[in-house]
Amino acid sequence: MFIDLELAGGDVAIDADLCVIGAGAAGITIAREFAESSTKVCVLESGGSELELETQDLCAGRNIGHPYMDLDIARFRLFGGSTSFWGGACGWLSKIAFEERPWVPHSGWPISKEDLDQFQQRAARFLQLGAPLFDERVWGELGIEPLALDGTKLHDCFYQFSRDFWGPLYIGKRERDRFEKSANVQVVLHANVVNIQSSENAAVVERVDARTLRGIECTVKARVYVLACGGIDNARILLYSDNVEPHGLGNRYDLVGRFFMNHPNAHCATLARQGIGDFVGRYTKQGAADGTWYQGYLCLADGIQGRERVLNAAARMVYSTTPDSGMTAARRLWHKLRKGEVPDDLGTMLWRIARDIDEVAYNAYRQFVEKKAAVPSVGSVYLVSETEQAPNPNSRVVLSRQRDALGLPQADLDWQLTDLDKRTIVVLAKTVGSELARLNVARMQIDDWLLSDDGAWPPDAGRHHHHMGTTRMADDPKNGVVNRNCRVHGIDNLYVAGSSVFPTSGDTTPTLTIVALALRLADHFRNEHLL
Amino acid sequence: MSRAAGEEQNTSMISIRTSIGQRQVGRRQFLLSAFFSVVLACTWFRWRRAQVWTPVGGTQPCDLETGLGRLFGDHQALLALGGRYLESFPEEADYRRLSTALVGPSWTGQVEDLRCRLADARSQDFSHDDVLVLDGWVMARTEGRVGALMMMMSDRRHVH
Repeated sequence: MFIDLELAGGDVAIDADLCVIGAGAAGITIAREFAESSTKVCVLESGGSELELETQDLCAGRNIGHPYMDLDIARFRLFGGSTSFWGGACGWLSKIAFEERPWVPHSGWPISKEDLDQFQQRAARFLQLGAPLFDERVWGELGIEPLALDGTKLHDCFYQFSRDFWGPLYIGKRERDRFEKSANVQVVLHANVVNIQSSENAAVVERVDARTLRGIECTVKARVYVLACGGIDNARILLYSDNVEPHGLGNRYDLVGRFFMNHPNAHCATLARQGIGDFVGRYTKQGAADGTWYQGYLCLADGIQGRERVLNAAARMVYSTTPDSGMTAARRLWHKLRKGEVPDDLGTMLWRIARDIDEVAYNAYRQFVEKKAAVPSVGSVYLVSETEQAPNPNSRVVLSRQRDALGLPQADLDWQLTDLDKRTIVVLAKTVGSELARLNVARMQIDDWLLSDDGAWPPDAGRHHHHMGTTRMADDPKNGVVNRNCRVHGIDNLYVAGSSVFPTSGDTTPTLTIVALALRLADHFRNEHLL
Repeated sequence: MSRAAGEEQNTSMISIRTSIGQRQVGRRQFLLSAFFSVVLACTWFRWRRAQVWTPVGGTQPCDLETGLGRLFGDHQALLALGGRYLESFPEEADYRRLSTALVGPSWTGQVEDLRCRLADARSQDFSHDDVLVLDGWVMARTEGRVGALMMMMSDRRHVH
């Protein structure tokens, strides 16, 4: 059931077995695992069912390091979290991402890839993906002969797309009904957590305090607490819950908020247009016969990562289209209709679609009948890097002196990138360019910023909403905030879910891994009889 | 018909064994058929040879400058990259050294041979990671050297 705290009429006290803070991908996954069970679950969500400006303002903060998007649009406070606005791309971490690599300081997970592979199929089902295929086997599903890549340098990897008929799957919308009808799961909306109260010795959490923007309070007492608010807010909440431990909860070794990682994706090369047709079609988004949508990209092989001492890296192909084309108008119209909105410039859109009806009709046939990606008139074709960021303790989330509308310290983001991050992209660009030239597939011109040694990055590098590492996982509390079961070191009943526990980021999107880790945590609660 | 005329008629026929038995054809008819078959076969053979086996740039031996010109034409982009190659590797700005590096000391003068040698060298470059980045363009060293040599040839033409 849903409770809107703003409409509660008075302060609320809730007793539960499990308290989940945050209703994004991780929080919803864990709560869903206990729906229709005897476990009493309380989910606290800062936002409502839709995006609200006033609540979004609680995400405000400053970027004090590498340029990044404004923090109040970097994550989303509503039931469903950032998966209410995502593109649906799901990848799976490679084996090397879990391993300790001598050339990558602070690398290595306390769990193995095999530990997480057990949850891959369940996570894929949750996200409505196809069979868990993310490697060269996908070419067989698509009926396409792969390029004869040198496997010691590059190999193919694939995203799958979590989607429904309209487009990317919005998890909150899908799960709303289930939680509405659930007898044992209470979702409390507009409940902003203002404090996690621990015992005097900070060994257990005793309660969680929440408050609405209008001042209505809610207290939750549970046996087990899970913090699932994303990479920035997980750290922020632990840091400002400081009335027992002055440096914040779980922060005895000054690790909370450190090792912030994003994927510093950047435009890295332009492809010569002549003779490129097959390459464009090969690596665009396309559907297989079973309805699964894939997009291929080129990944650095493990061997070359070791030889060149660089990170995981992948390159995907994007192309630009004319902004006033019929295809651009058709896409915009589709997205508006999906939200139930009528665009202001409907007439202009319809005219452009009519003017380019041949291209629009052909691509509609391709997309809905042949299950292939649209191929509109292409302007330029680019390579964009999707690379792992090196774990860096100086890249961090800190509490600001500025306060939000609840009187809580905002989060400032000091995102730091290193030479290793840039050098990885240089190696990626040269390797991809070399292979494409060797195979006579395409000619590539690397961007100027990669050819200079000044350490500069383009201002728009890193536009992803992938916030990782700020409560990283490690067996030793001196190296991590949570242990291998995502329990906060030193606190018996506080756990963290989401990408903030990632010790390394890999080169792929985090959502599938987030869901797999959440399922693993739910199983841990059951197996250890904690719930 | 008299027996002599009949015998004369019989000797002008040739018996040809076919898969369905024997067939009688006139000698003239046979010779004409055979002649035209040979002519057709030779014509087809020459046509096919022209399609598949004609060496790039003809069969007459030529000098290196002519050979590269026939392979790459007046390729402005290649000349520009060649200029950049010489700026980056000034120690290779020697005509004899560069041409030897590309085709070796015993080039036959055949353009097809040149094409094969360059293709092999290019392939070797990629295998050994001898890959350059010139003005951002990723290429094999051989490609850079070809551009450099053509650039030097172009300069010599303009000087002379």
